Amino acid sequence: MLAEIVVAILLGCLMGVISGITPGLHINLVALILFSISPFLLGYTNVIAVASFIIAMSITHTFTDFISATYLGAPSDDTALAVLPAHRMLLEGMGHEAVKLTVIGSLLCLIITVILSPLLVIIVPIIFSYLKNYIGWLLLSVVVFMILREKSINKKFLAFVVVALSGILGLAVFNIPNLKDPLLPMLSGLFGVSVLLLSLTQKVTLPIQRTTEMIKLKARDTAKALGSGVFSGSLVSIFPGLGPAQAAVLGGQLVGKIDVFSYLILVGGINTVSMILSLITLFTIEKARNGSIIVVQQLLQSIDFNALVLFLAVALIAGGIATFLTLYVSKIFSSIMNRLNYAMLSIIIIAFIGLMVLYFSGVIGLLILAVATFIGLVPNIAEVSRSNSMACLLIPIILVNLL
Amino acid sequence: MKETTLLKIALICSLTGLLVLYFISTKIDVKDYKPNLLNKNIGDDVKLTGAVAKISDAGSVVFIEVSQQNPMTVVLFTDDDINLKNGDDVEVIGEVQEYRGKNEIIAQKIRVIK
Repeated sequence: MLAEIVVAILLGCLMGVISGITPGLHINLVALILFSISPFLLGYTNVIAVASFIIAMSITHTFTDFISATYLGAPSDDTALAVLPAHRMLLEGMGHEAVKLTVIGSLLCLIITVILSPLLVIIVPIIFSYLKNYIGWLLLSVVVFMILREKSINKKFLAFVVVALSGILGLAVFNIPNLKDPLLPMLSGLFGVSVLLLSLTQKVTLPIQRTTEMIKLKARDTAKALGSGVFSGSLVSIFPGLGPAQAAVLGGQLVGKIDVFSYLILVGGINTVSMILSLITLFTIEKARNGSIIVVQQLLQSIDFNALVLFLAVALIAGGIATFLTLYVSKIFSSIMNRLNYAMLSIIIIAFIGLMVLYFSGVIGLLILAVATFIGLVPNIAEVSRSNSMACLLIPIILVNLL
Repeated sequence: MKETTLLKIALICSLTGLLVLYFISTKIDVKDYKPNLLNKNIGDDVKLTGAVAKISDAGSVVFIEVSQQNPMTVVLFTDDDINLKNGDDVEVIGEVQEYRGKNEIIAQKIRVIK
């Protein structure tokens, strides 16, 4: 049994690296593939080992997906907000350090969440019952705050325009019937292709990437980022419909002003925390809030205390291995970047995203990608924060909660 | 934070996980069901392996006779079609219940192993 689980964890970590570095591939899509192959896997091993494989892969994915977000500028909804600061650091030759910061966030938040899990088992239902009626208002105030934090009246108005355009896009996309994987074209357009296009038009040349240890983190900001990462990641697991992206917006507002390095730690931690918390909610309220954990739920129906402890141990092992793997792969990417023509790379990635969208979401997906790319250019032209574009996810959820 | 510090934390994290896994994995496996210890198992979660001898489908409940040393009735509540045929080697995980003086297993999971 132990040997089977260890092999499953190692295989899961390797698969998590492959899924994580594939541009635009979301963990829920991976979960869907896993669900379809789980009967095949069950023919070779027991259900606990298959579940361990899925958890190890998902945890590793939450570490490695920042590699494609940073080096290739291709986000999933979990990494959308990290793309911008991480990509900016890449353009300053600090791509590896950006990835390292998200890894610090992922690993430390993972450890904190596992340590706090006995407490969280008690607190999670209390927070849920207290806040569940106000989630729409809470997110609305986040959107209003996002607009108001822009400096001048003119900028506030332009931020409102970006929020409105993105919100309308989100509403339209979620109302298209039978559209598979709607987030892929929308977020790739808003946060991926538009950024790459801008780099192309501005003739950005990538400086030599270095792997030094120059960044000094402020202890206070790091602590704030880790605390907010654990809190925001917990919210994702508690509230249905609230994704890591919305939690990142919320978390970013909660901690107030922190430096860009600590912000990457915060965004890095949220996805990993939400994965762990989903295991805890599966144990406490038998609800899975996340694609991978839904597959685990389908396999096991419910999990007892021993299984929860086992899966938390699996997550710890996978998190440790994922740290090594992510830093190693990041260094490979960093050295490849030094030899690549960045403009050519951007064109190849845009073409790759286009093909992925065509494959997963069809021709209508390409149309969404084009519209989202145009809207994604607006914050840059208007010189307002690009995180206003997250309204594409926030506005539909606000309306569902308030209407 | 230096990369070496981060890697040290990662190593400690993995080793701690491995240690917990070592102790908990011995407790997680369900017991193999021995039909000759019948009455001691009522209410227990058990695992039974054997060959399918007979399948009777009664709508939302399926009775499967699994031959081992003694034949054992496995009851599966499901609305879906089951892909089992006589002769299949199966592994059943479920709870032992007593029904009209005989023990049977209420299945939670059945999988074909060969």
